[in-house]
Amino acid sequence: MSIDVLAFSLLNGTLYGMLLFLLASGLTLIFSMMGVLNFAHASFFMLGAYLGFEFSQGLGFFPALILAPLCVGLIGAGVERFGLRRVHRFGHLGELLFTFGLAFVIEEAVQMIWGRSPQAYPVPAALDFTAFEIFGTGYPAFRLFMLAVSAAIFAGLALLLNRTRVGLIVRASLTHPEMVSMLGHNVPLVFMSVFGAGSALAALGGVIAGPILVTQPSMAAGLGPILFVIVVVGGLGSLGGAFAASLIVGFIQTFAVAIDFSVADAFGLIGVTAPPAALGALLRDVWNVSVSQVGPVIPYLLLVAMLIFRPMGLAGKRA
Amino acid sequence: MTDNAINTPAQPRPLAAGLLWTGAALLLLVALPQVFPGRAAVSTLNYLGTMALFALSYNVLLGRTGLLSLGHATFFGLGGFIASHAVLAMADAGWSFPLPLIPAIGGAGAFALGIFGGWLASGRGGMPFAMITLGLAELVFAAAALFPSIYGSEEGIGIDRMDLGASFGLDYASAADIYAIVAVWLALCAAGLWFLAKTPLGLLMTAVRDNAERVEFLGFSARRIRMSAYAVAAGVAGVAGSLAALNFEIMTVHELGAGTSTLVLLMTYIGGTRHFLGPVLGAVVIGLMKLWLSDISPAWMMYFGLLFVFVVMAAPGGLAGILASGIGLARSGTLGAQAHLLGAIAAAGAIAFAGIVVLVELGYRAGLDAALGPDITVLGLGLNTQSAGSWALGTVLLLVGAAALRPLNARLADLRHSLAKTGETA
Amino acid sequence: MTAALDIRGLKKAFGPVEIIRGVDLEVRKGERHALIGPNGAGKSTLFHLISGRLAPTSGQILFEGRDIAGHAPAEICRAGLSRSFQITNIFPEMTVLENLRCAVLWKLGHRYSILRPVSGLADVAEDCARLLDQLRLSHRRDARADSLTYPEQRALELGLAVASGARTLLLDEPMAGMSHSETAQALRLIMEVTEGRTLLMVEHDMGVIFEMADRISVLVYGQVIATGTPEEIRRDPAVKEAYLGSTEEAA
Repeated sequence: MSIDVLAFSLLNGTLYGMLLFLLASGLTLIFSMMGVLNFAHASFFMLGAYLGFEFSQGLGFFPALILAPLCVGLIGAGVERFGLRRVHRFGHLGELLFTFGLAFVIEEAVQMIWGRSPQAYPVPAALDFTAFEIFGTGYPAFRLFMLAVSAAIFAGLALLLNRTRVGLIVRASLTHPEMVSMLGHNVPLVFMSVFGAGSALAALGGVIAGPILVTQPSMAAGLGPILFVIVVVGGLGSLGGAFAASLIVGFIQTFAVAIDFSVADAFGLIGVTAPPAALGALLRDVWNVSVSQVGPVIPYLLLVAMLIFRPMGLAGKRA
Repeated sequence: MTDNAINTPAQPRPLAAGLLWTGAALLLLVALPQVFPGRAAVSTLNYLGTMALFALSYNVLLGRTGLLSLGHATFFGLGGFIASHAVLAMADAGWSFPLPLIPAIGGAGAFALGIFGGWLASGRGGMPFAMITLGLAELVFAAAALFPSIYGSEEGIGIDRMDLGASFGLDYASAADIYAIVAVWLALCAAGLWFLAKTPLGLLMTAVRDNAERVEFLGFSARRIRMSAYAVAAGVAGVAGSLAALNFEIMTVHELGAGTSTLVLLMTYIGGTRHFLGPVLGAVVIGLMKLWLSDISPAWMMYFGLLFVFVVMAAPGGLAGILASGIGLARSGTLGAQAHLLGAIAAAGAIAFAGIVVLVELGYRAGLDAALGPDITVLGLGLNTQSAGSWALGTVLLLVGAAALRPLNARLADLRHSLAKTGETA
Repeated sequence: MTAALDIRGLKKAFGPVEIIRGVDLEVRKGERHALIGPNGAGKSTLFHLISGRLAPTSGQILFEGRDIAGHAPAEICRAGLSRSFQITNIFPEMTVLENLRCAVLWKLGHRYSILRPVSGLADVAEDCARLLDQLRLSHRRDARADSLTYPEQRALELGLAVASGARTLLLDEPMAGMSHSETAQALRLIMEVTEGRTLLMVEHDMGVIFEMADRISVLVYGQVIATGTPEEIRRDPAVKEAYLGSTEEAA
């Protein structure tokens, strides 16, 4: 791999990892505080991208950056208030099924409104230039902007959690989930706010990722499982673990795409250039597998490996 | 799920009633292709039977053990691929192997894979289980692209079910021959699962659903029980997948994807997880709706989703639970006293539902299907996506229906409460 | 003779907070041993440690001479030590009979069997009938466990612990939340069904404790400060100061 590819992959991997963490952090907070695994989390991300697209058409990108997360946050709060809270009496299974059904309905609704094909969600003109060049190749300013927004949210979240009273409650609930309800805080309101805020964060991710990742109805279904891998690998309910896992998955997927190397190439290094004819069809498949093809599989392999060797996750304590 | 109307206590069923049920079910299986002859109808029956078995297998996890798997299609698909490759390999080798036994191979393969998958997924129940099953399913799905020789490429793996020759006096050319295979496997597997539910392991699965922690304090490993449930469910799903392969003579990667996993969850849950035949009911209803609705409305998936959310929120017992409470109502002798309210609730519900249909159909015509023009006929009404009146009509119907439902439901609850009281004192 | 339970230097810390700070406790075979102590002394935590719900930070728990510290609950139950819970912990959606069936399956060797229906197992039926009779729950046999009255649920809770055939039972406040007359009945029931077994019990009702216990241990602030017969405990100055004094004032 040449040095410029390495540099770009490092940048893009960080970017992708930060973006994943933007979503995983909301998911983790909701899970830790409410015991609910929000299946619709990636759907809120998708709604963010679509609303971001819609608002940028009418009002421009920067108003959209505020408005879309706000709208989705309100939708999220509404979902908690009028949906999740009602199924709470059916236990966690009911909540899980509810958010699953919600994800299904949102995907259909998005297709209903915007159709099945991808939207032309352009990079805003103000950020459509080359930020800097390394080794003769330009790096787009918009990506740098994405990185900056993610980092800012990350810093903001860290400050909020470590320096404020709200953060204290949230952190308390991360370590001692059953305690918070006894502290006399308005738990329904806290839940609704957390769910709304988590949804808004996911939507913000959608607004900034929309122009780069393709804004299409399958984007939620594509990202959702990756998020769950991150949350499991990081250790359920651990923000630090989720952060580490986000970056790991971000790097793995970015580097896998960048590496143009296959099993056949490996054999080429030792002088074997064609598969022995005796190999069966299955082994011929393996022969042709390249790293970039394996890329999408690696997060799930990571999940399986983690389950075998460290079932509590990177940072999990509760096995 | 603490709704008393839905969870009738598990009463020991007298043997006679059990035999009656078994006889009725067998009779139905035999009679169906007679009632619905014709190649297309029998082909539909084959599909429904396959899905019914698939849903029954899923309910071993969801209803029996309380585990939400989001990747059950993995075993449906893998079972189907194993069966397909078995047919291909045996046809190649020129063996004569009876085609009806092919699902045993698919089932056994899926069972073996299910043991490994179950070992990975069963450490904890609840959310971790759901996430891990989703991850494992995505792993298998994503890996499929790497192995075109196993999964085929875009067009999948095709077989010719007549390649293995005739057996049991059938040559498997017609859909009716396949129906015989589907019906026998469905009956066998359903009987097996019914029996399993009665055994110590079946009882322990229910116990894990109810209170997994307590099971551990009684000397059992909850993990091992979950793993057993997972493997059994996988094996039966593999049989169902094999049947699908024989019926359609093709398996594609789509069969083990998230869409199929979602479909079986919808079928099982909407049918009702707490009754043994609930998943069968769900598979038949949803399967038929899928065939019928997809012809008349672009919004059929949306209706499935909305129905699912409705069942989760308002009727967690599913269709079987609604049926059971209906039967209970008829037997209680208070149906007459409740009839006027129930009728009003049904009317309000129908109005709200009509509103939803109007809005959804308008929505699809305005968005996805805008190319078809703004005029659309919904429920016999000529509507237009550009007229505010059309949208207002749907909104008003929905709001009026929903607004009427709330007080009506409250009154019904009051009435039932007082009926129960007078029933006790009488 | 080895003791039923011999706990040595047991410690449990949650983060920086040490809840169990070096417990030494011996429960002799066949005795009824009561564990008392003020709220927050760590009684429930100690039970969780012995029964495997929590793993100790350090120390030994010898059950009939074998160290079970940190073992899984299922292993400990199979070894012959079972427990009941302070907050009723039964199978709410199953019938009373099904609850008990689950509890006797391991002991009778059926374990995870799939060979025959549970209803066809004669030994299970016999054992459950006997338990139902003992627990005075025969008439509620087919009722869902969550439809039982509170004392009935407590009886079933006790029944699950007893049914597993353990030689040593840990009972965590079996009379919690009961009225005076219910308590008396429950006490009789406990004495009856635990006949011939070793009993370690947490209870708040001092009348009950001093009536039934052979020996009493007093747990205060994560340590056992005294063990002895009810008479010895009554006279122990350290106990009086640390525990009884305060409850007498409150009473």
